[in-house]
Amino acid sequence: MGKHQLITSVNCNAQNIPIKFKGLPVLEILEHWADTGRWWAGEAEKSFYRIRCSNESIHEIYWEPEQKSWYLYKTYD
Amino acid sequence: MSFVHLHCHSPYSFLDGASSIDVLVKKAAEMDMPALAITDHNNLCAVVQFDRVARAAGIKPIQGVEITLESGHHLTLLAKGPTGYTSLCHLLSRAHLGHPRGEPQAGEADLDSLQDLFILSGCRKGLITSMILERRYSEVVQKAMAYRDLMGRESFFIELQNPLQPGSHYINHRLCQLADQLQLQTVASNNVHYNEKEDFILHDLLCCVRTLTSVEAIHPERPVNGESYLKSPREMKDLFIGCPNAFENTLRIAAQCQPVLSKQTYHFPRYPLLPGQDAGTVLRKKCWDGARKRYSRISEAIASRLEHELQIIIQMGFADYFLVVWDLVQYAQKEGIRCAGRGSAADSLVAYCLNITEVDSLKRGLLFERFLNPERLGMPDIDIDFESRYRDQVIQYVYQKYGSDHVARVATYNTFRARSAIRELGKALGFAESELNPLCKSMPFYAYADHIRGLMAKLPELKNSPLHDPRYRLLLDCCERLAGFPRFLGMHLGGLVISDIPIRDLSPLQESALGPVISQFDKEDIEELGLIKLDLLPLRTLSVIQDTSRGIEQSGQPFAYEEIPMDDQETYAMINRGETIGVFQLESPAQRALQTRFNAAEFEDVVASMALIRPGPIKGNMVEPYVERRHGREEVSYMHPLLEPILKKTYGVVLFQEQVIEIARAIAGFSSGEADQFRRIMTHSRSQKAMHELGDSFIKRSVQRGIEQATAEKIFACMVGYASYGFCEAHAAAFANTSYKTAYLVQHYPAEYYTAILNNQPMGFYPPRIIGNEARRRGIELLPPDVCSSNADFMVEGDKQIRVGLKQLKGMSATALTSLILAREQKQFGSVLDLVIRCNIPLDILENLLRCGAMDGLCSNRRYSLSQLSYYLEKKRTHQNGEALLFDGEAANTDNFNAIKDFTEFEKREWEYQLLGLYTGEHPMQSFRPVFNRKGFYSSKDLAKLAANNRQVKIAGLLLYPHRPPTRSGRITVFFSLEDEFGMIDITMFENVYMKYGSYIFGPQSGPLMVIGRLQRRGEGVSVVAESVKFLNFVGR
Repeated sequence: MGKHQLITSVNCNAQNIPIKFKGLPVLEILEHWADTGRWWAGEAEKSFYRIRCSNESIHEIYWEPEQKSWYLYKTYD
Repeated sequence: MSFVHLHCHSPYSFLDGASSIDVLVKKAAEMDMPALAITDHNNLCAVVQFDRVARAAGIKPIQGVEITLESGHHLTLLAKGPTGYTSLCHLLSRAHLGHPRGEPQAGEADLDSLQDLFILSGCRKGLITSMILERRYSEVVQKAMAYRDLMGRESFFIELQNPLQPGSHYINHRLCQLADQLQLQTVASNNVHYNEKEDFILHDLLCCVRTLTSVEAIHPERPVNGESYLKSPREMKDLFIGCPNAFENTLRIAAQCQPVLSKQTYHFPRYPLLPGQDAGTVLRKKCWDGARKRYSRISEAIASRLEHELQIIIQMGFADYFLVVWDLVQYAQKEGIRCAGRGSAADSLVAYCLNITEVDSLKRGLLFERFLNPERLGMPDIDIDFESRYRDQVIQYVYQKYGSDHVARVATYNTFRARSAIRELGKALGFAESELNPLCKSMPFYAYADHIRGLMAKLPELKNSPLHDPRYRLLLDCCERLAGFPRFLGMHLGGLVISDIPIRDLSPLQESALGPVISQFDKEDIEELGLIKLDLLPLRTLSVIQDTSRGIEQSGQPFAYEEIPMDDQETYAMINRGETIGVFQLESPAQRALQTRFNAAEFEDVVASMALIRPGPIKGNMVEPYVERRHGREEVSYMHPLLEPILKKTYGVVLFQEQVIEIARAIAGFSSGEADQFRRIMTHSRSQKAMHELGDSFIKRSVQRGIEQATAEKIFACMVGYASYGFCEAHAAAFANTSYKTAYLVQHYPAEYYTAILNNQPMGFYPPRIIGNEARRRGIELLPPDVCSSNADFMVEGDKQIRVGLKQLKGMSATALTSLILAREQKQFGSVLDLVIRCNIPLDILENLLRCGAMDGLCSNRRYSLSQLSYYLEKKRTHQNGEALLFDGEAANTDNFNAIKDFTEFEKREWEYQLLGLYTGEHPMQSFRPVFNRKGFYSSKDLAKLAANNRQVKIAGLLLYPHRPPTRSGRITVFFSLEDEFGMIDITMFENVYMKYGSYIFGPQSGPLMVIGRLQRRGEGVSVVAESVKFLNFVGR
């Protein structure tokens, strides 16, 4: 997977599920999926979330466990 | 909180299940799940194993399948009980047999006849889900209604899965809407493909193997994550938090499903009888008729034994079965097809009187109870060997007689081993084939996939294997996890099921790769299903016997195989010299070595030989003590006087399984049924606990009968030592009969016998090269193939010559052969050009005929003829277009004849070996003999004359049959032979030498070897214990 934008402003609950994105409350988790990627090259499984924020914007973000960081995968215009 | 996984794949989903049934069931039981369903792709192969393992673990086995529909979509079906199971068998049989092999599909119409099943709407590849993904909402409602109407509302469930894939949320939302709309029930599943999350890796690799991709390639079949594991009830509940009914419905469905296999129901074949006849009466009559033919006088003992057996056979309901087998043998004999019963059936006098076996069980004192026991409800197992080339004709007869619905071939599960695991997983991991090939070849062919690392540490030729490189770590890890998984369904060599009910009521049927229809179960599973199996095995030795008999008759000598004298001293002398290459079951190096010191004098010695050269006795170091006792060099003693009559014929050693039964009866007073059960546990059980219990029972019962406890314990310990590899005496006797008779043929009719062996390749222990050598050693000349006089097959010429057949030529086709023989029949060939013009033989075969010397009679310069072939073919083309030949023969280019130098003798020999697989002229070692003599090498002939034991010798030859049989100590001993122009030298290599020189024997490089070692003389034979090995650098083969 290529480089995506690092996002530092994601707040999560105890289960590491996003509840705020760039300061905006996450109203709904529209979809959640896991992707193991290139496991044979040592990549760890990533957790993806498609979220709907309070301003009705929709984004796909993922948690990179090795970096312990969130990245923006896609934003729906 | 409880939950049942109703959609679960085992390794029998063939490359789509990455955890064993044992592991899946164990985890389900640990999680307190009351049941588990196995739903493999388009087969029920796991049924018997799953039933057994699940019951043992205390959970209910639910049998199901994930069927592929004609549209390519999947549907999950679960059997509620035996009727549902039969319904699944019918559906699967139609899906397989109605479509090309490997592409089973169930038609929508096939679903109409389903009964007693739950239908779950399926995974993401299910039709309902696919329609949702394709936004075909109105159609999906229609389809769901159709399934609902098919099985009823209470038996059709909308299957919800949450594999954490993109779209899962949407799909489940829509599926729930659909269920609400039609008032259908939902059920949660996880489409399990492995046990733990980390098993995903193996599953992904198996998907790559299945889809012929590697990990770096994208393929829609490959999983995106590791969520298809056997999740806990808590994990499943969390996934379906919004659908509590779907979670709980798994338990409701499980509660309504019952195990489908009913024990103790047997489905015997029915022999067609006339109205008013019953099988028992007919069998009794045929047995008595047979007895009167077998014996000149029916003694009381014969009559009593025969009636005893008949009573048990009839009482146990096996009369039809025996008649079926009798009928088969009758058919074969009528057709002139040689056959011979083997195995424990030879314990039966009934089988002997019915001509099923050739062993007189009464005369040998064999126990009928070893074959069939009224106290043990089990199948009788009759194995019959048939002449290999006609075996299929016999099978065809069975199909015709009992109907194709009632007959099927038995399956085998071909499993991953070291070589296949490295190759297939290695490719999936992206290693190049050129890199994997030598790695695979370096593994012993028998190695298990989970023994690779152990072998790498143990075997010297693997000590420096590239597999030690860390980059292969993942590959080796995965190989270990894959060990024993089924790779594909094959066809058992001879297993045939015959049943009174249609086979497809109990087993799905499918086409095998070879064509015949097979059951989806192997022979063990077949028996557990209550189906009756016959083993009709192809045996090339019987074809050899038949061919030899015909050859002898054609030579004008009176001969009847059945009347071969069983006391021919020349034959025993030959056996005792170890000159048994080509003799059935007596030709291996170990057998030949045994015979040279065994000094067989009668048939019983041959019977004992059959049982002695087995992994068990060899591993248990019992061969030497047996030989020593036989020669009176070791005292024969019995632990109790009651053992003497049982063990006398084997010098006080427990050699046969029948002896274990007799000891249990004589010492512990077991009934025949108990004694046979005792034997079965002893020979099959690997459990220490079971052996302890068995010992306690034996010792207790013995003491009750007045045997001293210490003696009873000693006897039991002795039986434990031997019985794990005890051999069935009846089987040994059946094989020994053929062994002795083939030895007789070798001794008295070597030309006919070796001709027959060469015509029935591949068979036996040795390649044609060795058979040819052995024939030559016996004074028979091997003549090269000749287009003017060779037949398709090898043939005897004169008294002591064998002419190589043209079929032996590499690449020879039936068309070319027919063309050549037809042309020759019209007019003998006058030249190579004449042959080329009058035959339709492709260039490559013409070249091979020239190179191997088959046209030497037409032109003495092979290289010249080769150079002319294109010209001849051009002449042929113009001739066919009407142009007349202006000359006869090869006159056009005779100027070149002398200019082109022919192949050297060495080159000719090389071509001969490459194209024929044998040498007709000089053996490759022969031309180096002067060098060998100068350098102090001994030939195999010289060694035989050397008397001094333990003398150091230097020998040379071609490597033959290296092997490492198991030993009791676990240390490696290698046995191999070196072949020279006079015969073979057997060599033993112990572990310390093997560690230094093993790579010469098992490594990738090959060539003639030089061995320095110590001469060992035992009995009539000599062998060498190797001290060092290396390649002969001055000899090119």
